[in-house]
Amino acid sequence: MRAEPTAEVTRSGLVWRTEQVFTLAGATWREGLRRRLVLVGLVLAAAFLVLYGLGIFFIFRSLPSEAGSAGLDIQDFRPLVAYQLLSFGTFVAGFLGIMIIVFSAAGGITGDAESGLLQTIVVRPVSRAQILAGRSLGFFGLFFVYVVVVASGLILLTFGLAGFAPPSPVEAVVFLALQGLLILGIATLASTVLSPVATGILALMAYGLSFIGGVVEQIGGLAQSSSAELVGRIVGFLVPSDRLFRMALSGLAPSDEGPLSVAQSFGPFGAPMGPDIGGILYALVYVTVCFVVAGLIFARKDL
Amino acid sequence: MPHPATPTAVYCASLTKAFGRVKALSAVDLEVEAGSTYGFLGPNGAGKSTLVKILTGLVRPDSGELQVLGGKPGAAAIRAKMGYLPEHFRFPPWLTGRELLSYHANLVGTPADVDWLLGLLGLKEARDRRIGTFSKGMQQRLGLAQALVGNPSLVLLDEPTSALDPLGRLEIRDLLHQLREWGTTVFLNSHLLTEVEQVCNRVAIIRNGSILAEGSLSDLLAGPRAEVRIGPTDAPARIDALLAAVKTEIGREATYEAGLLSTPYVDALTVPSLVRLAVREGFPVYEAGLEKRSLEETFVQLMEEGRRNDPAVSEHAR
Repeated sequence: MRAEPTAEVTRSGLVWRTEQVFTLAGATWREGLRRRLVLVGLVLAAAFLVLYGLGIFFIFRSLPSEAGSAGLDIQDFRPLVAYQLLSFGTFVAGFLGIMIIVFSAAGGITGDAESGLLQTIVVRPVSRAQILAGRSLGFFGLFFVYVVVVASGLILLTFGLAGFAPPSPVEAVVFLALQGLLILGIATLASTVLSPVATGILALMAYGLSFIGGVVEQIGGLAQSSSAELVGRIVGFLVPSDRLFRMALSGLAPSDEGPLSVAQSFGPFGAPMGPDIGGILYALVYVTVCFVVAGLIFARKDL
Repeated sequence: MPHPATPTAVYCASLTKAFGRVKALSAVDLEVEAGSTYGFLGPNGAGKSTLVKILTGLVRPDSGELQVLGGKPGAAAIRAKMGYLPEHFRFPPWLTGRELLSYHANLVGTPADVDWLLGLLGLKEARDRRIGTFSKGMQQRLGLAQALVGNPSLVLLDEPTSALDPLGRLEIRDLLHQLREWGTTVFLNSHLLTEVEQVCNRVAIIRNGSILAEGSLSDLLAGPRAEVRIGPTDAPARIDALLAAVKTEIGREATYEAGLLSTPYVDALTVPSLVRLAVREGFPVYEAGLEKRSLEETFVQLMEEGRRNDPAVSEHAR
């Protein structure tokens, strides 16, 4: 007996159907599970957390005597050390999360079109915008789970072993996620025109460039070099990912204005930067533009 | 279940497409009747895949008119009624055959009898195996099953049997006959001439982006000569008399060889005149009609003519 469709398709144009977006996102998740991306990510995240926990445990066990020898008030010193460790851990976690997102999204459009994976999907009654949205949602979902797991682990370990509770942990996770979304936007846009390898390189370079720009701006500020600060700001304008990371840090930094609080304002992993509405809006517009332009290029691309 | 008959499944007029400086299609006119099995033949690089991709909406034409199932190929409602198997495809190796078909059924938005489809393509046993473990031939069968998800009224197949063994090809041929019975229009891209000859009722031949010939298979295979089989004879004088009669009454030179009398086709009366003359000269007539050529002969002849008429080739020859 021939299979018969029970639903009559009467749509004349391309109508956005959310369930298809979830079908596509679900396929990305299934790929992540079946290809053991999730498994590898979680095992490595666990290893990373164990290492971090061991580090923080040993450092804080020996901290009182060392701090005493430096002649500082231990009550001021402990949160600063805990924060420095947490900011370092968050930086590495963020970096690994970015790697996950870049490696999963780099194949994106051009790669899947060249390998012949995309064509049978694109001819289905789904718009190319839906395909882009579904896949991006899938990649972002994988990244988000990773970020939540690792960031929660870091925060809980720091609290349990060092007694330091960051003021706004949720805010920190939100900004880390936004940073991942930004890099995903860049990788998605690049993947509509570039090969997977070129996309991966471009997205990671953009991330690295933004990080360096942030460091230049930070040191420029300390050295009172307005030119260095300007260069850093321009880079932050071109790729605002480091700004988002520094907003995430501000959710983790001790809020007290202690005598050592100045030490927070520099460091290799970026100084915290209070979330500013302008910066957040700029990042959101930036991401939106990336996805919209990617959608327009994809819609016109011969496959 | 048969599909309601619509007069035209595919219509294109003056369809043109270039990739940079390379002209893939130049002014292609084509009409595919609904319910037919249409063969699209041509050598590699002739523009076959480009045309199919334009019909599916994967590639946008530069100019020309185009209608697929009465609408634009990009429209969701049209795509919902279309199935496609690309020449170069890859399915996610981490999915099982069953999961792939369910995934496509979800994208089409219609429930599909996935197990029935897998059975139709001889993949019932392998339905829960990962696609990564499938042989090339099994993947091609799965590709065909995928193209049939959602009960499409138009199926576009780009070299669907390239990875199959002779037995597999035979099964696909049966499937194509079955599709025709169901009223499904099949657009078959192929360079396997015997395959096309056996399953298609209409054929177009393309070379360098231009259609060289188009028509029903019987028209295309009809050669330029009228033939009458009169059986062998051992009286050469009678044959000479017959040949002379043909020359006088039809006005063309006739030939006779091993019981077959043949003369160039002039008009609709050529065959009846030839029969009348043979009977008048006392020969029994066993068979009469136009010369039959194989698709291969027709194809090779068209390709040679095409090459001779190609300005680039003529230039080079000079």
